[in-house]
Amino acid sequence: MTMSDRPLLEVRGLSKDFGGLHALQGIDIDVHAGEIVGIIGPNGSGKTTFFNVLSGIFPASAGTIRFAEHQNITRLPPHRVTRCGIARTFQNQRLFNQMTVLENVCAGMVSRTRAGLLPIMLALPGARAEKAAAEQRAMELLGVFGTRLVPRRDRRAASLSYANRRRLEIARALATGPRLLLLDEPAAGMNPSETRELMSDIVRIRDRGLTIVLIEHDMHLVKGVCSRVIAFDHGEKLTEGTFGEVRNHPAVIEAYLGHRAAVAA
Amino acid sequence: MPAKWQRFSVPAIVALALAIPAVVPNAYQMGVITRICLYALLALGLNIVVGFAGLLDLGYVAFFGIGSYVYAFLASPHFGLHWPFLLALSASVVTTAIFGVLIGAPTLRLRGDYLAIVTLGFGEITYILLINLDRPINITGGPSGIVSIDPPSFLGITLRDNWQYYYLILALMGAAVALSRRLRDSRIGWAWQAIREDELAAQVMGINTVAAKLQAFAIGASFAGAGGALLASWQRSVFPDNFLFTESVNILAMVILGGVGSIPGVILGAALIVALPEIFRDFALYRLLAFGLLLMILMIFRPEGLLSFKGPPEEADPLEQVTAERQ
Ligand SMILES: Nc1ncnc2c1ncn2[C@@H]1O[C@H](COP(=O)(O)OP(=O)(O)OP(=O)(O)O)[C@@H](O)[C@H]1O
Ligand SMILES: [Mg+2]
Repeated sequence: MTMSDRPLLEVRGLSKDFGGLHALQGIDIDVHAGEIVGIIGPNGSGKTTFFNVLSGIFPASAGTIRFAEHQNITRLPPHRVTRCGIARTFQNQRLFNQMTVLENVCAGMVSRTRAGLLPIMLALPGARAEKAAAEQRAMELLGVFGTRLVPRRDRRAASLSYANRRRLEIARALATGPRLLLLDEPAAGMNPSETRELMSDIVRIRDRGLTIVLIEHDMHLVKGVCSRVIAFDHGEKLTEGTFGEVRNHPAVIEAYLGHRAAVAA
Repeated sequence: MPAKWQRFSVPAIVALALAIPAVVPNAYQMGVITRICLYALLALGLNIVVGFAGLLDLGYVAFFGIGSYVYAFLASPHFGLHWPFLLALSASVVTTAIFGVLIGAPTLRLRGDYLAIVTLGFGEITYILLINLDRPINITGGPSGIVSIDPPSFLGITLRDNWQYYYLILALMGAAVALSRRLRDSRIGWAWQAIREDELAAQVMGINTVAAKLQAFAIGASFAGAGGALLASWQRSVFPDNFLFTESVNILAMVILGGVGSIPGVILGAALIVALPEIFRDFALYRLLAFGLLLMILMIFRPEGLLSFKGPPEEADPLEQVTAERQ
């Protein structure tokens, strides 16, 4: 296949300033289809900002983002970026708390359905069939996490445990039908057994045909699932390579010294 | 609500509503009950904007007014037009939906307090226009309003009796309930609720928040448009003073009292806000005081509303413990 030579995501010279603060500086990143890429870096190194710019929440100060057949998605608003096939979760969970678990996933399906006001108000067969299909697909996506979410489909998202809320965020992101999934610290706050379960979930999701970029401080997880690791510091890409290469890179060790002692995994 | 329970309760409630004219003794009480249904229709419309989409609208009564006046223009001697009832009603609905979009569009970037202030201004402007547009050319009839409005008539029947108005307004309220439910449990309702819960996350989930908000404004306004046409044809006259700011507050109180977002709650709220001042009528001077006190007590003890969609905060998740123990 010739297509596989071309990266799914091509980021060139991406920068983001907040006033005088250079949160991102000239980031170049390629992500190929089927990869699980890990982004690591000390607190405040610009990892989340990178996701925020990618997903259209913040406009880039400079640089371009090419994704799949979309030549330049740099200036698109968030909902258009999502429709191009990029979905994400948030470091600080942002679920629709008062909606049920199933409705949260259904909300992710809004952009992939098209029934208009009148067909819905008249309960026309087309609108009803579309809704039934959406709910069925939402149930399938809850099923990605085994029996974690399925039995809780009618509970409010706010009532879920911490780990289940993280899983629901992923299910909701999957509902938008992405090709690229961005996970911002998916294991934060999880205990070791939940993290292990999450690792196999992530691999399973990749095996469904998705490409994943994840930000994570948990080095076990990064080592266990990422085929490639990119290290950020002060808004710049320090280095990239296999987990071993990046972990032993002098600049990475230096960036973490004084920031976090826990690079040694 | 469990589906099984609903299967019995819905026909029971419908039967009860249909039997009301047979059991309610006098015209005054019939009038109060009819007003409850009319206000429930309005409150259901506001519930779409405030309850479903989370957009605080303090000028909602403007749509009620526009709907009334559109009907009055099209079915009274004022302009010498006498459109058939259903056509004039439809015109009210469509016109208010358009106004909903026109008013909604400039407020799309506003949230919370700012949106509330702009919509409040819109309500006031509408009132001022209604009261002043009798000069230089007489459009609205000014403070003395429009009178001798045609009563509803369709299928060869002209409505004159109280019970007939009751059934007409009940039917439209029932339609509003059905439409509210269908919308809430649809892709559009999911989008509205997502915006209410977290607008940024909604956008990131691919929701076009601009389109969804405009739809909420249009549908919410159109319910008020239908309500306005009903008021005009029932009262047979319309005056600017029917559409004061206090009415917006009353309708909002119905939505909040019953439990924002809850359809039965909103109807209960309408019943309380319309009926309580009537019940306290004997206390004349203290009527509003007692009413206000009651509302305060309610808000202290059930701030989330009587039949809130939120429900009490959940504590431990029993399923969670089971799975945790298994590990
Ligand atoms: N909206 C914003 N306005 C101003 N400054 C911001 C904003 N968002 C992020 N920053 C700043 O940009 C820098 C990078 O922040 P970012 O959240 O991307 O870090 P991070 O690598 O995700 O850190 P962490 O590991 O703690 O999540 C920080 O100095 C932060 O204070
Ligand atoms: Mg971060």
